[in-house]
This record gives sequence, structure tokens and C-alpha cells, in this order.
Amino acid sequence: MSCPDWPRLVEDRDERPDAWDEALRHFDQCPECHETALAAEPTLLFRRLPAPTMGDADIESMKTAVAALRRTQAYNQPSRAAFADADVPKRRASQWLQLAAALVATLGTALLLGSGILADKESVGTPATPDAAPPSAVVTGAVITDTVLPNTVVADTVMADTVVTETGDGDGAISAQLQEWLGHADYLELARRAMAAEIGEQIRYSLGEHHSILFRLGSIAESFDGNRRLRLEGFRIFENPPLSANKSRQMDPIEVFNATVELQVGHGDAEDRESFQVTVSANPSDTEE
Amino acid sequence: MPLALRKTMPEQTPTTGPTLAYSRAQRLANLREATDRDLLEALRNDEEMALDILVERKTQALVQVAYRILGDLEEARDIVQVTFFRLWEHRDRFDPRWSPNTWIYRITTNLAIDHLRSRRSKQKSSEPVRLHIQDRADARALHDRASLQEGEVMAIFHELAAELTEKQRMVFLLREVEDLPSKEVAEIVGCRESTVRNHLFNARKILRQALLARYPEYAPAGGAS
Repeated sequence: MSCPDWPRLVEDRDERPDAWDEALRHFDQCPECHETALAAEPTLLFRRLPAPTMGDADIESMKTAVAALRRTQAYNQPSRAAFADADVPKRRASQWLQLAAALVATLGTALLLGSGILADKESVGTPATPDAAPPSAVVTGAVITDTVLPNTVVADTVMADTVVTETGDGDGAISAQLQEWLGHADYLELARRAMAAEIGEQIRYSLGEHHSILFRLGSIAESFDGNRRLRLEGFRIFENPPLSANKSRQMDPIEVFNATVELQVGHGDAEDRESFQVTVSANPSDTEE
Repeated sequence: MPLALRKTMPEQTPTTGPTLAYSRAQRLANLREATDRDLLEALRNDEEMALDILVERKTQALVQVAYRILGDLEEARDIVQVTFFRLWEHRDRFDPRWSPNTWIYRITTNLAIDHLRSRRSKQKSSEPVRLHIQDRADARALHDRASLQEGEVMAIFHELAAELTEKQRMVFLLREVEDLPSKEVAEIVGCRESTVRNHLFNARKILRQALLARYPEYAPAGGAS
């Protein structure tokens, strides 16, 4: 196709919309008449507005985030009320939702598997520590509204069939401790607390009478191959001090576990898109009581 | 010495039997072949896989349009996430008389405009954009349009588009940049085609005048009247 008569076409475009559409396509492909076209209609400059390219990893990430939104709905929480809050950085939506999905579907499941709680599917949904005191959380600077959470979401994922293996110099003590302390209901609760938190806030979570967890939400880091890693910074577990009759002599909690937890979100086929990988690393000296 | 716990995904999921796995894969294959309208119908029947297919199909186009409206990729992604969630939440509200694309675009553009409103209340001036570009002008021959970076075009557009009404901006982007037909633009924006033409005429005029006034180097001959 020869280059259009741009000045004339600009004059007539409302009467000849098809010719204008065709000319626009020509403009996109023909560098020779760019100058003429822009002189006739300077707003054609904006045909070059950038278009971000969404790769397979982006699509998988989007699916994960949307699935997490749906799970949030299943928790009977407000549907991303935080997103509608103009004061909240919007970037948080995907981060927190992925965190929730990862925590609920992965870390909790993985640890629970080792403790045998998920070995029998019928037992999914049974709180790990039914006799323990109800969990409670303190999130600095945020108001938390307690809700009753259904305890069936983990059974909905393929993660119920994953296995836990421990590598390195560990003898299984840390994982055994975690599995002992953390139950299914605990992780659901942790996920819920995390979703309500602001970036950088510390989340303190009480595990029954004897232990508590403290962690800070980090960022989602993207690795060179497009995978995303969600970091929980300073994931610490404390043993609560014994209650003292004399409050002035209250002892500090004893830190028994200090780790950085990274949740790596896989980007495989749709079938295994929930194949999150969890790596917990810790300095053994930090884990000694 | 660091200690690591590593959990890996097995290649197969024992509790998912072969028959179930096959039917899921088969259904997924069928849905990949389905039309957008069929997928929305499947959504109405609570088929979650249909939503995944829609995510695969529409993410690129929706992120693109949201990004062009907002000028921020992360915000655009969040908008599109919420779009898909709304599709799921309101899956029983889809009117088959509508074009599926129109319905989905409409959700995205409405969310983007809502977000733009909340952002505008915080950002009263776009002057830093111009200053940023001026700073870079020394190091680059800005009169050479071939060297103009896409990011700069984006920055200029968002500065000048502040002069437009929301509908003018939407119509200009959807019709003139995204190349959607006037009829579809009218349905997305929620007006008549004649109104779309009016919005487009006014948007071009305002953008042209602003471009000539602020960035005359990009419109050497002055443009059409």
C-alpha cells in the first residue's frame, strides 16, 4: 500500500473511518511517512505508547493471585477492602495475596505433612492443637477484626501430596519443633494476619500458651528466570516465659528459632502451578535454647 | 552452617487418580478451544478452570490497556487481578447479549478510572514529568523523534491527558491507541457512538494543542486544526 495522503485523510477521517483505520495500521509499519503523518496529526505520537509484554511467568503469577483472591473470599473476608482504600499502596494486593496463598497452601501444608496431620485427608480441617488456647495476634498499627475461618482450604490443593525432606546438617530437630508447634489452624490464622498487615509491619502471633511467632513481611523478589520469591524476614519463634506473680520480674521471651523464610512460587504448567517451594534456612546457633 | 528444609513437589499426585486426572486435562483442553462466551457460561457454572483460561487469554490485553490508562505496571497488574476476581464474583451477572470482550474491558477500565480518581486526589501536579524530561534533553537530541523512548511518550501522554475528561481519555486510548471499533468503545464507555466521535474529536484537539504548546519539537508543522 502506498503512503496515505495524510493531510487530506486527517480532514476526512470522520467521514471515512475505515480509511483512517487502515491508515493507522500503515502508520505503525511505515517509517517513511511518519514525519508527514505526525505533522498532519501530532497525536499520532501516542500510537507509540508502550505495551508491556506479559510472559508465561506473569500469566501464572496472575492465576495464582486471582486464585488467592478467591480463597480470600472463601475466608468470608471483605473482597480486597484494602485495595479500595486509597491510602493503601496498591502493589500490596498481589503481594499479600500471594503470601496468604503460599502460607496456607504451602508452608502450613508442608509442615503439617511431617506431623501427620495431612496424612489422612479425612483429618484435614481438624485444628492441630484443639486443646490449645485460641490463637491471638498483635499487628502493630493495624486494626484486626477476628473472623471464624473455615478449616478446609488446604484440602483443596494438590499440596496435600507433597513431601518434606530436610537437607544440610540438620537432624530434623527444627522441622520437628515447627511441626509440633504449628498446626493447620495456626497457619490459616497467620495467613489472615499477614493479609491485614502493612509492608514492614511486624506480626506477632501467639501459639497457645507457650510459644509465639514474630515475623516481618518482606518483598516479593523476582529471580533471573522470572520466578518469584516471597520473603518473610526474621521469622522467629519464641518460647514464652513462665508467668510470674510479680509483674515487675516478668522475664523476656526466649528465642528458639530465627530464620528467613522464602516462599518460591513455581511457574510450571497449570497442573502444578501450586508447586510452591519452601526453603527455610537458619543458623543452628540461633536455634539452641 | 546454614540449615535448610526443602520441600519439593512430587511429579505425580497420588490422591488424584488417573481417571480424574484425565478428565481434568480433557476439560482443560476443551476449555482452551472454547469461545470467550462459552468460558463465561462455564464460569456461571462455577468452573474455575474457565477463569484460568480467561486469565491466559486476556491478561496481556487488559494489562496493556490498564497500563496505558495508569502509566504504572504494578498498578495495572493489580487492576487486572481485581478484574478477574470481579469476573468470578459476578459470574452470574454476565448478560449473554453483551460481547464478552466488552464486558471484561468495561470492568478493567472502570477499575482503572476509579483508581485514577483516587490517585489524582493525591497528585495535583504533573510538572515533575516535564522537569524530568528537560533534564534528559541535554543528553539527547529530543528533536529526533526516532530516538524518543517509549517511556517518554508515556510520560508526555500522562501529562497531557490530565487535560482530558475521563471519558475523553478512555475514548482516545481505546479507539486511537487500542484500535477498538467505535461500537465497542461506545459499549465499554457506556455512551452512543455519536458521543464517542465527539469525545474523540475533543480529545484529539486538546491533546494536539497541549502537545504543540508544551512539546512543539514533536509537532514541527503545527498539526491539523
